[in-house]
Amino acid sequence: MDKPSDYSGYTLAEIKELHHQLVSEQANTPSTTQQQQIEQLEQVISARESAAPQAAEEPLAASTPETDVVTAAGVTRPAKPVLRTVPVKFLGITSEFFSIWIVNLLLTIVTLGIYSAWAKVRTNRYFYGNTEIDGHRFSYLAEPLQILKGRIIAVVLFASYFLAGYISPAAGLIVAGLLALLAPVLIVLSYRFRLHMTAYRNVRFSFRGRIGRAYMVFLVWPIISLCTLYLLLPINLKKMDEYLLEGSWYGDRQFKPRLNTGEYFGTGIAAAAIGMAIMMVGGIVIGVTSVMTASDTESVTNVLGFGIVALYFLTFIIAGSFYTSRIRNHIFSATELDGVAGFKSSLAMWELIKLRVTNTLAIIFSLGFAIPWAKIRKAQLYANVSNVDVLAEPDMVMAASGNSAEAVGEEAANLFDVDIALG
Amino acid sequence: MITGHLYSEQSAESSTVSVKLEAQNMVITDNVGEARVFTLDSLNTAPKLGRLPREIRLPTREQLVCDQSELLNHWLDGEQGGVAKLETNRRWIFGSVVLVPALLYFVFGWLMPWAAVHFANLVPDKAKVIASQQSLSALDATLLNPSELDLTEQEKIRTGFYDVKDSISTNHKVFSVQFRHAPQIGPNAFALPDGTIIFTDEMIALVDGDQALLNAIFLHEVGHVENNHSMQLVAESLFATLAVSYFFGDISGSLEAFFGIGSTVVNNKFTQAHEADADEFALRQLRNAGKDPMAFADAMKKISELRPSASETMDNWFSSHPAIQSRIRKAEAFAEQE
Repeated sequence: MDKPSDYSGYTLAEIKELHHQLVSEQANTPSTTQQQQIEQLEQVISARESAAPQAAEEPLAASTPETDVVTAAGVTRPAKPVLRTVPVKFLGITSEFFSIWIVNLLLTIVTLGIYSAWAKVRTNRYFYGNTEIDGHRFSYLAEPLQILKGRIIAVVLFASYFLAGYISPAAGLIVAGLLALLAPVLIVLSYRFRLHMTAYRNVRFSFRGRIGRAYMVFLVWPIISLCTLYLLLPINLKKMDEYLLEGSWYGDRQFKPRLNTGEYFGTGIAAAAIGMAIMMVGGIVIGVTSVMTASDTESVTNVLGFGIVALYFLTFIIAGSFYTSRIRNHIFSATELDGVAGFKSSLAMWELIKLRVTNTLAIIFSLGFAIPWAKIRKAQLYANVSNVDVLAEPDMVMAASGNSAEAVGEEAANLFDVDIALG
Repeated sequence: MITGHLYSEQSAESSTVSVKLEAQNMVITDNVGEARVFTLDSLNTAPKLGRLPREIRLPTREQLVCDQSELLNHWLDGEQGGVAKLETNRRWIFGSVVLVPALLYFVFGWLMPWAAVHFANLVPDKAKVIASQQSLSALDATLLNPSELDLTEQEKIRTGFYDVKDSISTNHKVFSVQFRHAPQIGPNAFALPDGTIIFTDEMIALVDGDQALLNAIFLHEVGHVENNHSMQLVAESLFATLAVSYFFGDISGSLEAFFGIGSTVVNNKFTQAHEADADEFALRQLRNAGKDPMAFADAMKKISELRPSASETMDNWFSSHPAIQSRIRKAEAFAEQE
């Protein structure tokens, strides 16, 4: 750090925290640049303490303009030095998870699905608990009975939709319409439940997005996108991601995404172009091969049938992986957990394609026994390409339910805390 | 002495603490030497899972996380190991590997069809009538057109059917036969749950109006109605969909598409079983009515000429009906035994 950094946007407490951090690091691995930074911080601390002893805890951002930096994503964010970059580690082991999975599957089948709620909690606890950032693991806090409740509701909704469709197509349409009207609520409830049941360092995540906006994003916008023949789909997808992220909190800190519409349009158009190119080239290849290799009309149909299924998979995996990897990387780099953490994802499209192809083939040819292996590999890949920039020691993040008013709100939330999902 | 991480109840702060286990008490000593005592009963511990560190919630809403050790596990869980005991037991793991496929086969092959029969019997006749009327008017609006057969011919075929019906005994009392012109569907016949049976003009043309063959097909459709197959199929597909989602859970993306194919195969197995039942019903009732069961084999042969099939195994997996050659063989075998 050759130039002195600008600490005007920081509270005194934050600067002290940073100072404390650097001093302890300096004790382990001494470096001259770090020493300079420590000295600079000490000057800032003493200057502030003498200048405004009463208002020492007030941020000075209001009086001094913040220097903004332009990040790679083209968005501006206040310059805040990165304390350290830490990897996301996934510590799950295939053999261990296989044993858990197969025994839980047996119990689920024997209990005709009822145990699936317990199995889901154990599976989620395994994956959350084996995900480690900066020496701390995540926890999944849901109780099996909460999951069971949500599943019963989901079964009732699904069965009524299913049966209504059989008894009378008109009734089926009415139920489908009602479910579509209900969908934004179900999405929000289930997302809220999932975040609320996730904790890191004993502080829960939460979702505070408004239902009204959920209706815009999950009902009105899809209709608009449909009416424009999906030309506006990228905007819709961006709004969905934005809504879910902006509503997400870790303790008292909000996630702040600065997503770029251009990135969504570019990625969406490119993904559609890739998909169409594969379909066209693949279609010609399949057509020619089936005519060349097959002797009679029957085998032509068979080769064609297999070819089309294979082509569909290939298109879905390649175009899907392109979109997922690019958008994930963008979302990570454009999102900040307010003042606490930044994120980095370097997911390569080819890695994702390789993972999806091998996982699908392994599951098919192992008759399903490779499902645990596939899940562990997926978690490993996603963890390996993710990093967290620690901007401030997370010790200062307060649990959101700290004061009593919030705690009451939390009890009320529990009544509706259901994850209404079949899966 | 065990070391652990103690997480504050109101912030993300954490500290390293040392933990001492006594008979019923846990003593947590922080880094300045201050000790607090908690009784075992006051702790809320997440069940043991794999080698995950144990998560212990203190009555103060703080969280203590300690790596697993035999000592700690034993102190927290006593002799009870919960599900974790099964998950680490070789016999349970190997047993599950064998039992899971066997049980899946049993559930999909026997339990679901059995439950579906009982479910189908619960459906009131009124619902079946509504379902049939609604389905027929939906089909009439899309794929079916009014029959182009002249009324005398329709009446002649119908009378033939009702004679056959009167010579056998059925649980379901009302059967009504209707004709439709359906160029998009081609030669076909199908039964609605309320006993309405539709023949397409193309079907009549395929067998050249041969009443003996038509009777065989009619009895096959009566078999569907008698066995309540449409309602059973509704229940079977519902159960299968729910079972797949609950047993295999959140499997995403390309795998879901694979399971989509999987559930088509499962559904086809259900409908193939129904077709076999209806075939058997038709053969037995032909004999009861004093007709030659060979008529059924002949009708099937007419259909098989229409769509020759090269690969029986492919057909077997991806078709809703059993392979037609095996249906013919079965019918011939039945006709030959006296």
